[in-house]
Amino acid sequence: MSAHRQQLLDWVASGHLDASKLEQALALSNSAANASANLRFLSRVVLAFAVLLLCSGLIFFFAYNWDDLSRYNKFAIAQTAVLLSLLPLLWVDIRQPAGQASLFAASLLVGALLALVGQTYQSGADSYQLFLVWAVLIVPWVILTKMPALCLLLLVLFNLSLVLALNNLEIDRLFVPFTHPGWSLFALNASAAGLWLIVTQHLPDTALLRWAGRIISLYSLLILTFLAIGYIYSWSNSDALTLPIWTGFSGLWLYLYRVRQLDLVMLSALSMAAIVLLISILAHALADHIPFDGLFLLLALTVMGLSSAAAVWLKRLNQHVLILHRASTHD
Amino acid sequence: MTDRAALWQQLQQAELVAGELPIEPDNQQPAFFLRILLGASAWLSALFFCVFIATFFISVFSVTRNIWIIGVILYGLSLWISRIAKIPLFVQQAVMACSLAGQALIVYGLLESNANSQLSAVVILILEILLFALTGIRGQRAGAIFIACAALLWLLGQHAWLYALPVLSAATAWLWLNRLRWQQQAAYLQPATSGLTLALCLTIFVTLLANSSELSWLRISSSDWHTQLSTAAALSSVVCLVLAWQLIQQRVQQPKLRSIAAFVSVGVALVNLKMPGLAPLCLLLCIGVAHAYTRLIWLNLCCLVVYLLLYYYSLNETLLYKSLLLCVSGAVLLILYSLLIRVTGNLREEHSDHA
Repeated sequence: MSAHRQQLLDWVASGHLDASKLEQALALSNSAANASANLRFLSRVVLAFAVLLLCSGLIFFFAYNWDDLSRYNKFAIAQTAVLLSLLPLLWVDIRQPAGQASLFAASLLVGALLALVGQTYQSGADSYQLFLVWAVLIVPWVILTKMPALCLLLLVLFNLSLVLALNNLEIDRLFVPFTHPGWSLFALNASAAGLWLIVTQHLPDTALLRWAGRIISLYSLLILTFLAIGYIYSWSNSDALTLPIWTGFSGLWLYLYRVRQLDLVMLSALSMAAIVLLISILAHALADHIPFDGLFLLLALTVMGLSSAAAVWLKRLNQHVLILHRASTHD
Repeated sequence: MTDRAALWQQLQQAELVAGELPIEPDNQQPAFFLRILLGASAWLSALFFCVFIATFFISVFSVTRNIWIIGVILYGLSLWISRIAKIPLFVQQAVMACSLAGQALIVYGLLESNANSQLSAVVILILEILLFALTGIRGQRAGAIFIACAALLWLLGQHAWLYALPVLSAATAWLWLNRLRWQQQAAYLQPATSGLTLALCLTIFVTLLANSSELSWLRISSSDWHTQLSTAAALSSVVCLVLAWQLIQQRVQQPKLRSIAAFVSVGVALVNLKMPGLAPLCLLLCIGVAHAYTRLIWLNLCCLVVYLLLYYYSLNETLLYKSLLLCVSGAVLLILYSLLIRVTGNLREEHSDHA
């Protein structure tokens, strides 16, 4: 639909189709926006914002720590909120937007309840145990629904608990050869990305599933690239395996998104990461050997050259995809 | 037969077009992931290029006051090359980097020679307008409009920049609403729309930051800030209401849905008086949904989330008040959701009846 729409717009721009006939042409090729689908999308957006605002309101309410309210009343309110959020599931299916929204709200409110426990019994409302317990408690719901938003929430909670644990337990070094604490974050997110690929490979391909998977993988690539830059400049990371692992991860990335299933967004992200890393290596290696101004000219030309080469490669792949798509629709 | 040919034949049969299938041009816009890659690397190379020029200039002349001359040469050269037909991608990247570096050097040179910052803003504005009109690279035009708007905000100064909010809201929403009508001028109007949208988002977030008591040290706001804010908010509410009505008339056919849409528009316009910037974001989201502009939808959804986070964070009230406000807003949205669900059900029934 969007390809037809773009084609029609291109013809209007080139003067081959009269602008006044565009609406008719869009309707004829089924490329015009559908009122019912629009409304459905808008209602989902409204529902998502309603859930987020209501849950944030409740979390703010407990954060206020109202003295006039006894601890029993506070617990009663928090538990009632969790139960109330689950109540719609008695009538609506879990696959419907309302069912998914109610389960997501319940998952958020479980955190509010745990924070209240931390606040009441002085165990802290931001300790790593809180986020870890919260994550563990919502795991069954995540497995049950396989909802992308809930999966991302679970991963955020694991990431938060890991960062807080590293901070609270004052862990500055891990074991050799991966001594930098950032490796634990990379391991967590790379495992999540791998798990996501395995679990979703038999599910129907939707934009939401695709983007959730992309976000997890991109976050892993970001962590690893930061670790690699840290190693090049020896800021914090001295693990000799950093660059080989970056290279291996890129190889795996190429296999997954070039050979196994072509994904140009992921390949352009890898290209950007590779450009940044190569520029860092070049700048570090040549800083003591050539004058400052010459170095910056070289870096500017290298960025231009590498990005142009990457763009040409991605353009060719894109054209290849379009040819394949046309051939498959023609068949 | 290819997709294009089949579509052309379909249009021919409906007598919407005449003649042979047009030849496919090779100057089509690159895909969005390519534009992000090229844009990010152009800015990065511009940064390196700028440092190169500055260090080279200093090492040769040891005076930085006249560095703007180098900037003008770079700017002029890049503009000239950009107008050459069918330049390779590498040269396009170099042109963008040269142009950005040239502009940065001109501004630096002006500031170094103790010129008024208002004068620098005027110079940037003129440079960007020229760039928008004369460059042959389409992607550069959106950036030019964005930087021109930022310069305009600076030029308006502490006492008037806030009034750019209703003006930018009106211009952006109007351009998005009439995007299809002006498709023949797409080479200029589409980048202008993208640049204005980004400039509107920037203005909204600067307004929010200026309104926050925690950032008062930045001195973005003037002494009569609250009067200005109320006026700008009221004006943007009126502008958005008028344009929302235009959208409703264009896109909403069902009478019941039309009255709900009008009612919600008035509600959002009223809330906008307390939360300036909310109405333009909601309006752009609705335009995006109604016309199926996917990128506009996602940009506005992200902006709305960030807006709400910043708004509630900077609200100078107790947590209890914030909590009540959030719960009431959530409850209102839930009611709206149930209304929308009911209308969607009715629409579906009508559709199946017609079928």
